[in-house]
Amino acid sequence: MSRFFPINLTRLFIYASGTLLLAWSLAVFISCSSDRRSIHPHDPIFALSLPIFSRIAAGVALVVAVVCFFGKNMFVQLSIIFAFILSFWIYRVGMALKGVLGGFDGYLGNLPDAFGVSNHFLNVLFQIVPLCLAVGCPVIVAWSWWYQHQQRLHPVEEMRPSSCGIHMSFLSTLWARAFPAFNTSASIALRKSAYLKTHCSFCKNHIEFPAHALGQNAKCPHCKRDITLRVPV
Amino acid sequence: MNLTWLPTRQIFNWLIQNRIGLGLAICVPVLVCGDWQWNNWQRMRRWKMADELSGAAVFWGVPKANPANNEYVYGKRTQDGLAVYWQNAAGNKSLIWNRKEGDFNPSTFRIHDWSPDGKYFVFTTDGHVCVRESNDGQQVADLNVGGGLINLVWLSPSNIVTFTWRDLYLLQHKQKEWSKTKLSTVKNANPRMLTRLSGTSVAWLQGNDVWTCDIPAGGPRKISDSTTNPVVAISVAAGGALLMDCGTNGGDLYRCVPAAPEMPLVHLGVVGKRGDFIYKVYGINNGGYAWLESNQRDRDSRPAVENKNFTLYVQNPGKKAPERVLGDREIEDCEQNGEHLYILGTQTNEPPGLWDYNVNSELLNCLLPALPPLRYAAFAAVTYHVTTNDLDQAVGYYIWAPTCLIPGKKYPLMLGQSTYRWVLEAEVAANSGYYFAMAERPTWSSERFRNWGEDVQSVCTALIKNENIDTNRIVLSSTSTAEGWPLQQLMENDPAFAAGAFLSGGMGPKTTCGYPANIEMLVGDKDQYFKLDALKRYLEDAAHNGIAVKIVLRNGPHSTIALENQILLAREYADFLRDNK
Repeated sequence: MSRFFPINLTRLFIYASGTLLLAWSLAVFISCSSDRRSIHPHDPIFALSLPIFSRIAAGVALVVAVVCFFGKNMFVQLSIIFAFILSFWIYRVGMALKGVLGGFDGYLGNLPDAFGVSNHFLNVLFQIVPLCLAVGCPVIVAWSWWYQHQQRLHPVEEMRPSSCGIHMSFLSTLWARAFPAFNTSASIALRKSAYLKTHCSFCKNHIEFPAHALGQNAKCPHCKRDITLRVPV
Repeated sequence: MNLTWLPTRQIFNWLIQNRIGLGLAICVPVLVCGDWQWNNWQRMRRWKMADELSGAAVFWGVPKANPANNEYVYGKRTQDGLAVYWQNAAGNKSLIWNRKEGDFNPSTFRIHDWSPDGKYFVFTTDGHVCVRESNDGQQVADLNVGGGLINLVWLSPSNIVTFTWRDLYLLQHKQKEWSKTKLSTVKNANPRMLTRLSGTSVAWLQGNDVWTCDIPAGGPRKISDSTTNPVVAISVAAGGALLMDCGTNGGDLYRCVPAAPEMPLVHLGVVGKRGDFIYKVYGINNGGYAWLESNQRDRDSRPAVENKNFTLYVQNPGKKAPERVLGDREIEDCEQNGEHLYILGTQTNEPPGLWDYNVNSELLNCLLPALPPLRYAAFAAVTYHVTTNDLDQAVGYYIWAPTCLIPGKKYPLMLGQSTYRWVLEAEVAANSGYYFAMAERPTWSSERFRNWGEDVQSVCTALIKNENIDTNRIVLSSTSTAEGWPLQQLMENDPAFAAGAFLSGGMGPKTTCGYPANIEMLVGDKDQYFKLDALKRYLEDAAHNGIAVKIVLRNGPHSTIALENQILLAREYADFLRDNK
């Protein structure tokens, strides 16, 4: 699945989400450990004690953050983030339906004290960050779909002409056309890349790779170790 | 150690594959904990200042000196309650008694005079009279006379007269044993200023009447009626004469000899300013007299004792004008011992310390300062101002300036209210970079008290003109129920007051006030006036309406004496000020 995503952007979004969720969950755990004898309200939906409810929510956020950092499947990661944020917004709508007017202003517990920030600032943060995540997930998925769609319509080919040695990407519709090379006076005809075969220097298994990737570093698909792609002697 | 069983290659590969996730999983907690620790470090700096200031105002009542004026006992607040110390002129001291808060009622605790021979001293608490040896503090008697606050006076080295709110007792020391004998019962007597007239007689005030009791002769006798002479203070002077301060508008001081058949009154003169009230009067053996006066009165036209901001004047014979001792309205209480006046008070807005004023030599000596030199905090400069309220009444107010005042810079304002004396909250506010303004508080039972909210509002209006005050940052503070409600009303009516600290009781504004506000409440877990259930309901309502309320519990009842609670109050206050700056 991941090969259909604009990988770098999606990774960035997942790591950013994980970072925010981990930071929030740790902050909640730290603030709940305060030894101050204070009284807190109950959460407006489940009527649980605020410290208990906060710990449960922070625990779930911690799990989501771990999935974000160490998960393999980006689609699953995005789905979990989206499910978590969706739950948050359902809870928030529930609060509004219950007549809670000020958002989380009165339900922040010891969090503002523990980190020296104002209630108002945290309340605003609690609106903006989930909104960004809630918008980000569908946008990333939609963009991925569009990216995949574009790739199907206009597949991109790659080559490295021996005359100039520069790595080139071009749309498959430009096959057979000739272009002047960047650093020589010769012209280059765009064509499909040939494939070469070699074997991994560690595990000795066979590897096939496009000719334009010759000399580059890559992971061995069998043993996952870094190797340099060379023509076998 | 053999670690060959470890799947090192797999671990290494896993680490390499997840290096970004792993890096974030390490960095994020480090950053979060770092931010938390940074905030803790800043809080510790604030708390050092708060702790230092809250170590002030630790003395409980005026010290009682022995007849030779070289040893004295005094009460001092401890971390968890109250202690009584003995100290001599050389500075040696020892702990005589201590009790945790909750194990006794501090409002009934009082240290009384030493015996005339200096062998014993007495303190009373919870209806018990505790007689202690002066040389080692050992208890020689613990007599239960019942009642609350006990008036007590020594008639002779072996006779004590006590008066509870209705029972008059004679406590006698015979054959190494102490015994009590009830002399009389006066319903609803509520006596004040029990005074020794002679070796066998005492006098006291009941309302504004003066009563005496000659013990061998029988029961109490009224010698002055409030309808003709409304007496507000009495004291005994040389020759067994009784000084009576009559009148509720300034003091007309009279001298009389109760033992004389006709008891003629000799007018000594007017003490105090017209409009002021005399709290106590002291007859001095050299023929002079001294008095404590206040400009506050309660509903019954008596001096507003609970305000504890008196001025002490001494009129020595041969001097035209009385001399003021210590500052104006800077004295909490004063007790006489011969020519010495022992004072709990301050000179220049420092916390109240213990002082000894010798009337003959006119020397003022500091027995015990309230605080050692400050390291993390500084005393704020206090100035007095007057403005007028909507009813054209004069409203006095005090301003504590920030301790690090930079001219031209704007500072937030905290509006508080209390009676003028050493105010811990004001000092913490000034050290936190706030202006602290306090509308002079009428006594809670006065008519003026009802309009106090308007007084506070008029002070606020006057202060807005001050170019050093940031009018967008005004917070409120109150320290008890009675002080809380005017602020509560202000918060409800004006969104400009968006934060309030209600310490030791006082309910916040209505939760439907319609604008977001930050409220902090510090409440005793055994508070008689605030039930936790009601507070929890308030908290739920406030959160529901978008008002951030923080309720912090401390140990003890509504009025607390434990130093740990004072420290907690100062810390919470400093945090509240920082959060709303």
